[in-house]
Amino acid sequence: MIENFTNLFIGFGIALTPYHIALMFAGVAFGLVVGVLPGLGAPNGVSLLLPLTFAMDPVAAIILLTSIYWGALIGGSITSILFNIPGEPSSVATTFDGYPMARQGKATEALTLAFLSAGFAALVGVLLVTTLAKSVTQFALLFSPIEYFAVFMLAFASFVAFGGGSPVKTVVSIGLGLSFATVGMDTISGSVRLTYDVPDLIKGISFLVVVIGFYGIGELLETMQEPLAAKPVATRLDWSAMVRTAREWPRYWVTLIRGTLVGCWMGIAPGGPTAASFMSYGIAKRFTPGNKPFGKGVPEGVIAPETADHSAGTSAMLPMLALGLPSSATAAVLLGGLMIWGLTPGPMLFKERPDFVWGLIASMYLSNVAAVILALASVPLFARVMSVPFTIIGPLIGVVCIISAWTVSGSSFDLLLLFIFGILGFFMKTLNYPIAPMILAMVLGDRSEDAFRQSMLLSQGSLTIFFERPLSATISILTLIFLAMPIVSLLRHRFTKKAID
Amino acid sequence: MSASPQVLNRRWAEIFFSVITGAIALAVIKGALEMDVSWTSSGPDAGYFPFRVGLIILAASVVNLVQRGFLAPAEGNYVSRKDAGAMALFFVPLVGLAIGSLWLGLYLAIALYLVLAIGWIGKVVWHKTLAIALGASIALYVTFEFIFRLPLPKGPLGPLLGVL
Amino acid sequence: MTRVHSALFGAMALAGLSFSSQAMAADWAPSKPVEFVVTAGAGGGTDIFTRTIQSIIQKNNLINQPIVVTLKGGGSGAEGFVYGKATPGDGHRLIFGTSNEWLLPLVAKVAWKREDFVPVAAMAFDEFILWTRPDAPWKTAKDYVAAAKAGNVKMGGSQSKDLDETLVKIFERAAGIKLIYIPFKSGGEAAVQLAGGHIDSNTNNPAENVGQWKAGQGIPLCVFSSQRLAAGPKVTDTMGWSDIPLCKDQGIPVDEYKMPRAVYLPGGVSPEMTKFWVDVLQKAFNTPEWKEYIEKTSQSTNFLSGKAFADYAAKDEERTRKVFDEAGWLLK
Repeated sequence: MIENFTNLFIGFGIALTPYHIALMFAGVAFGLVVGVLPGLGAPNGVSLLLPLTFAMDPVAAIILLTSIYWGALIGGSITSILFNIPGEPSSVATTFDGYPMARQGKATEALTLAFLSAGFAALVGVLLVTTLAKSVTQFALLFSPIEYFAVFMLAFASFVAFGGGSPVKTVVSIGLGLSFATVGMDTISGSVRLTYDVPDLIKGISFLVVVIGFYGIGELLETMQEPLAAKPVATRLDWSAMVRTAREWPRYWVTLIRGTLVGCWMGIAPGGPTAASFMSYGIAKRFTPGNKPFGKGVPEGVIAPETADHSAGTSAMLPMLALGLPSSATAAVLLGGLMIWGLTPGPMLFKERPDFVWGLIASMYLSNVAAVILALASVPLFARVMSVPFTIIGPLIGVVCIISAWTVSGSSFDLLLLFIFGILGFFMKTLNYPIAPMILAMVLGDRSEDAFRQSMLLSQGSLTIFFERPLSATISILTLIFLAMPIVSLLRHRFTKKAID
Repeated sequence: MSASPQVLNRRWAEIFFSVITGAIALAVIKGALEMDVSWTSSGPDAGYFPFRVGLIILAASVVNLVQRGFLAPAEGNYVSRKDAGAMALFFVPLVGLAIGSLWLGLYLAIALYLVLAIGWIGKVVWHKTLAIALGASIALYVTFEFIFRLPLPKGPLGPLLGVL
Repeated sequence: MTRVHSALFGAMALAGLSFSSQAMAADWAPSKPVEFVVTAGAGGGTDIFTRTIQSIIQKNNLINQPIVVTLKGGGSGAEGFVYGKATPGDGHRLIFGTSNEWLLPLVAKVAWKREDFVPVAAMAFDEFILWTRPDAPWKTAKDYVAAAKAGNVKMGGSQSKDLDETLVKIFERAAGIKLIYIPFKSGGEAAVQLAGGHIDSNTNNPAENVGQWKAGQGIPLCVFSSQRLAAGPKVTDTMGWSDIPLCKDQGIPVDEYKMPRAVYLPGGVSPEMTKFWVDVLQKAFNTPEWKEYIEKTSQSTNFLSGKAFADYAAKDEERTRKVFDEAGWLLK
C-alpha cells in the first residue's frame, strides 16, 4: 500500500504539467457539453476525439479522454434534474428526485447536491483504486457468469423489492423492459429474436431511445395536460443558495457513504454505473429513516444515485486497466484507444508502464475536482433555464429529444421508436405504471439472461450452481433476504394489527 | 382537471392500455415461438425466457383489464378535449419535424419547426421566435459539424454547404 | 475560417461533379467527408483495424477529405451492413468488417446477401490460437485433446455461430472430441474468464489474449495455421510468438483458419470508385505504420483485392457452409 502511494506521487509528477492540466480542463468542459446532450453521451464523445489522440503521447491521450468521461458523467445529471431527460444512462435514477426538486424551484440546490456528491464519490473511488489496486484485481477475477448473474439479481432485488404502486402493473412494466431488451441478436444462440423481419430491429432497441421517449416525450405530453406544472419556476440566482446547500450537504453523510460503497462494489464487481445508481437509490429509499417521500424531491434521492454512479465510474477503471475488462461502453472505447497507442491492457500494464497507469490515476484526482468546479460554476446559468417560459423551452426540449434519438445510431427508424415510446410513456405515467423498474429491467435483462444461460452451459443445466460457489452463494442469499424483507414486514404488520384488534 | 368534455375517461384509458400491453405480449409470444422455447440439457433455449415473459405480461394485462375495467372500474377524468388538443398541438408538429427532417435535413427542419411551435402555436413575438429558431439551428450546426465532427443529415442544405 | 473556405470550395466542386459525373467518372475522388463504418463494437479488433487505416490515411494525406468513423456493431455487425446497403452506389461510405459479410447471411435472417457489397480489399488475416489456463493439467495440445476425449472440457469464445464457434466445430471434428462451448460478448471477456479459471480454453486472436499471456494467466497451446507466426520480440521470459507450435503438428489436422480484416463498398458503385479505394488502401498497406500495426497485433498480412479477394471469399464460404450445414445452423 505504501508502495502504491509512492507510485501515486510519481504519478502526480507526471500528471501535473501545465499541458496535462490544460487537457484536463478542456476534456472536462467538452465532456460536460457531451453529457448534457442525451444520445450523444460519453461513449460517443470519447470516440469522436479518439482520432485526435493518435499523434499524442499515451499519457496525455488517456488524460484527455478520461477527463471527457468524468465531465460527461457529471453533465449527464444536469438535464436529468432540469428537464427529466437523463443525459447519460447512469443518470436515469437522478431524475426521480432531482426533477421534482427543480420543479419546486430548488434546481440550484439539486444541482449543487448532485455535483458535490458526485465529486466526493469519484474521489473515494480513485482512492480505492490507489490503495487496493492489486487485491481488487484478484477479486474481480473471481467473477464468472455465475457470479455476474448473482450480482445482477442483487441489483434488481434491491431496487424493485421495496414495492410501491400496483404489483400487477409493476409486473407489466418489468415484462415490457425485459421484452424490449430481448430484441435483436442473441449472444448465446447467435440467432435474431423478436425482430419480425424488420432489418432495423436486428441491432436491438437502444436503451437510450427508450429513455428519451419515456422521459422526454412522455413527460412533455403529460406537461401539456397540466398547464399549471408548465409554469416557469422562479429560481433565485444568488450564490447564497449554493453556499447554503454546500453547508448542509455533510449532514447527508450516511447516504453519501452508503451510495459510494454501493458504487465501488458495482464498479469492481462489475455491474456498471447504471445498475449501481438504481441499486443505491433503492437501498436509500428503503433504509433512510423517517419515511421520507422519495420520488417527490428529497435530497437523499439525488445524493444516493449520484454517489453510486460516480464511484462506480471511477473504480471501474481498475478492471479496465488491470484485466482489460470494460464495464461500460465508454470504457470499451478507452480500451480500443489503449491498443492503438500501443499499450496492452491487462495485468502487466501496471508493471510495464507504471508512468502511464499512475499518471492516469493521479489525473483522476485532479480532473474530477476540475469537473466539480466547472459544473458548480455553471449552476446559475443552468438554473436560469428553469425560468424560461414553457412555450419556448417545450419545443426546444422536443428538438433535443429528436437530435438525441438521431445521434444514438443515426437511424430514422429510431425516431419512429421514439414517438411510440413517448406515447407508451404517457399512458404508463398517467395510469401509474411504474417506469423505473422497466428501465432497470432493460439495463439488466439482456445481460442477466446471457449470464444465466452461460452459467447453465458451465454447470450443464444444474440450477444449484448459484449456491455451490461461496461468492455467488453469499450474493444470492443477500438477494433472497432483500426479496423477503417486504414480505416479512408485511406479515409482521398484519400480525401486529391483528393482535391490536 | 378541467371542465372541458372528456375524450377518454380513466376507465376506458385503463381498458385501452391493457389491450395494448396484451397485444405487445402476444407479439412477444409469437416472436418467441419462432425460436425453441424449451429447457434443454444445457439450460434454456433462445425462446425460453421471451416466451414466458410474454405469457406473464399477457396474464397481468388480463388482470388489469378485468380489474380496472370491470370489477373495480377506475373513475375520474383522463384526457379532456382541451388536453387532447394541447397534446396534439405539441405532438403533431414534432412528428412533422421528424418526417420533415428526412427531406429537409435536421437543421432546416428544426428551424421551421421552432418557428411553427414557438411563434405560431406558442404565440411568442416574431422577432424573438426568429432569433431562437435561427440561433438554435446555427448553434446545433456549429456544435455537431465542427466541434463534434458528427455530421447530421442536411437535406438540400448539404450541397449548399458542401458537406456530407 | 479556412474550413469555411474549403467548405465553399467543396460545394462548387460537388456542384460541378453532379452535373458531369459521367464525364468525370474516369477520375473519381471523394467530394465530401468520407464515412468509415465499423461493423463491430468499440475497442474490438475491427474498430482498431478501422482506426489504424483512418490514422494512416490522415497522417499521410492519402485523401483530401476528412474521415468520420461510425460504430455500428449491433447484431454481430449486421447493423453496419444494413446501414451500408442503404446507400447503393455511394463511394463515400466504406464498410469495415471480417468474413461476417458473407457468413452472417448464412446463419441469421439479415437483410443482405453477399453480392450486395463490393469487396474492396482484405488486408490483414488474424490468427487463431488455442489458449488454456496456466493451472490446467495438460501442457500440450496433444494432452488437451486426450483430456477432452474424456469430456467436460469448457471452451470459451466470442459470440455464437461466429468465427470462434465455427473453428471450435472444425476443431472438434478434426480431433474427434466434443467440447462445451460457452459464447461471450467479446474475445476480451473470454480472456478474462480464462484467467479466472472459469473456462478451460479459448480460441482468441493473439492480440485478445497477449496481456494475459504476459502475466502468466493464459498459455498458448498451438496456432491454427500452416506456418509458425513471425518471431518478433519475446512475449514472456522464455517464449515469443514463433515458439507456439502448429496445431497440425500436435495431431489436430486443422490446416489453417484465419479471420480476414476487409473493406467493402456498397453495391452499385462505379469501377472508378472501387479503383480509387483499392489504390488508397494499397498505399496505406505500404506504410511503416501498417507494418507496425501488423507486428503489434501479431496478424499476418497480404493485400487481396479484385478477383483474388472474391475467390478467397467464395472458397471460404464454401468451406464454412459445409461446417454450418453439419452443425444444423444454416437458415432454412
